[in-house]
Amino acid sequence: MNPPLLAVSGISVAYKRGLSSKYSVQAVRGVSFSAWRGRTLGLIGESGSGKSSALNAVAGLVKPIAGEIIFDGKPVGKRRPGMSMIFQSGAIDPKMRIADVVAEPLRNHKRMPAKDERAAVIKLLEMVGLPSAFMERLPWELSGGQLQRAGIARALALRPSLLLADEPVTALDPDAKEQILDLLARLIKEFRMACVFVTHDLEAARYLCDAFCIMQNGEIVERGGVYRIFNEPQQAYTKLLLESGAVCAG
Amino acid sequence: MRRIILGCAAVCAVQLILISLLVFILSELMPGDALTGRISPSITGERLREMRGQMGFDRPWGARYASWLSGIFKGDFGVSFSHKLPVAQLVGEKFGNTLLLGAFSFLICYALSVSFGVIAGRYRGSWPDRAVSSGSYALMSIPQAVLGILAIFIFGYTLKWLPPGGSVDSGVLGPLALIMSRLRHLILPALTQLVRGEVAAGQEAEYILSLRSRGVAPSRVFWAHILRNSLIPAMSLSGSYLAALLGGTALVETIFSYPGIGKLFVDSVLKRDYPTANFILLLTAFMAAAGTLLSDIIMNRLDPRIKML
Ligand SMILES: Nc1ncnc2c1ncn2[C@@H]1O[C@H](COP(=O)(O)OP(=O)(O)OP(=O)(O)O)[C@@H](O)[C@H]1O
Ligand SMILES: [Mg+2]
Repeated sequence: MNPPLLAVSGISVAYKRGLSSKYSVQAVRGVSFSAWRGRTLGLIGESGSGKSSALNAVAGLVKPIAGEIIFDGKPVGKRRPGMSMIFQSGAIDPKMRIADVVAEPLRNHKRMPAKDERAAVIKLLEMVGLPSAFMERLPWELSGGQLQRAGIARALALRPSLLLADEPVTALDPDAKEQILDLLARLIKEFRMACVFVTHDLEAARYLCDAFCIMQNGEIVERGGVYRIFNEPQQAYTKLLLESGAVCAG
Repeated sequence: MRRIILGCAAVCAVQLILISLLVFILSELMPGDALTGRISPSITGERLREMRGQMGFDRPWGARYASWLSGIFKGDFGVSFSHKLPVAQLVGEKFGNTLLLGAFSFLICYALSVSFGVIAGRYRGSWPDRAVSSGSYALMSIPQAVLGILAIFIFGYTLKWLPPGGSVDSGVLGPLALIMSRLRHLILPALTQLVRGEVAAGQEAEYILSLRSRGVAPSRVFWAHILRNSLIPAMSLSGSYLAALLGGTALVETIFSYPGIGKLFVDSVLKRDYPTANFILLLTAFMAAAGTLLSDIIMNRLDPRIKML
């Protein structure tokens, strides 16, 4: 197999609380996983199991206290332009017009004439299925699904090779959820992105992912292909998760 | 926008009329009138009736109210019983003083509260946060008269910013005392905690995480996004705070003999000078209404989600 785009090995994440200078919460304990282009890895686990913390460490939002993150063959630096992250909501500043939202990464990374920028924004909106008329709108004039699309358009602006997704469909109604999952699957294939998909929604995970890491209490307790995890779960915790997720094996 | 302002003005006008009616009735219910306490005890009943007739006190209060009200619509606010001056002129002289103080203490209070709130929110859980929170609560629980006296002590006695010679010039002390007592009113949980909460929550908002994940400079994230968005609620309160500052000055102005409308109001009530008292009340109510409208307009400007039309 060719080398992974992202190789995370033995990272730990801990938080301080209040005034103390000591780490009081250990959210992630020595977790390793890899992601390949064109494939989606699911980080699955119950609330508080450390999924977001692990993902945030990859994105550079928290500094891991131990471990190593190799991206595109090199240890990650402070800036990680090859990665893009999407969130539960569109993660959009409530006062920014959609055009500015989508153009923001472009403006931060390279200067281009206004005309080119506009064309780029229209193209990005089109990619995620939003009409260009939405450019002038403000976030509150969009539905949850449309906001998520705008967030995805912004994430694609710099043509990332790694997409980090933290519960991107959890807050959506079933229709919108299905559409966004379809869109993500299509974009991941089209741009050959690697994707790390964090969720506790097994149905969504099964739809999008090729492989799973099951997290419990800051550790990965089981990993494997989707088919194997669903049909032959090894760990009691995984079985419990599958049962509570009410997803029938198939 | 125009329609909203007109509609609000209409509602305010009705409110103001009701308030003035209430004040009129209340002053009617109080024992005595503008002549009580000003006449010598040896005056004859005949002479007293004559004087009351001159001042129009023999007419029923309804008739007096009606003529007072119709005068207002003609821009005639009546003549002060005790100062023998047109009320508008009398109040106008003092209003400038109150306005100046109110605006000044408003600016100080807002600047302090917002800065403290921002610092506390930015470094939530740290010692500056704790200091700000406990400080503002402590300040709130001190009565404003005590703060005023403390102001005299600090500025007049310890710092000697005031004229020497031991003379306490209340006209100079008034402003300081007033500002001090207003600090109590504004630098507190109300505004400071509001800003603190907004800033703290703002830092954890997903769109902030998302900006950080794209490597946007932390200073830019803070100033252009967190701060801007968390100040909207505080700004929207500014109009009503300003109104409250202008309205609630009676106590402090009286204690420190500051020549503003608050003191004038108290004096007028004591002297049953109801044209003056009523006019001040109307003015204060008007300021409160205008302040609220101002808040709405500011809010509308800052936050596109709030559409007034
Ligand atoms: N900023 C923080 N400060 C302190 N503790 C934190 C912080 N963020 C997360 N934690 C703690 O770390 C642990 C893991 O949290 P994390 O958000 O990574 O879990 P999660 O699996 O993403 O949960 P969820 O499904 O609810 O999002 C939790 O116990 C949480 O309380
Ligand atoms: Mg999470």
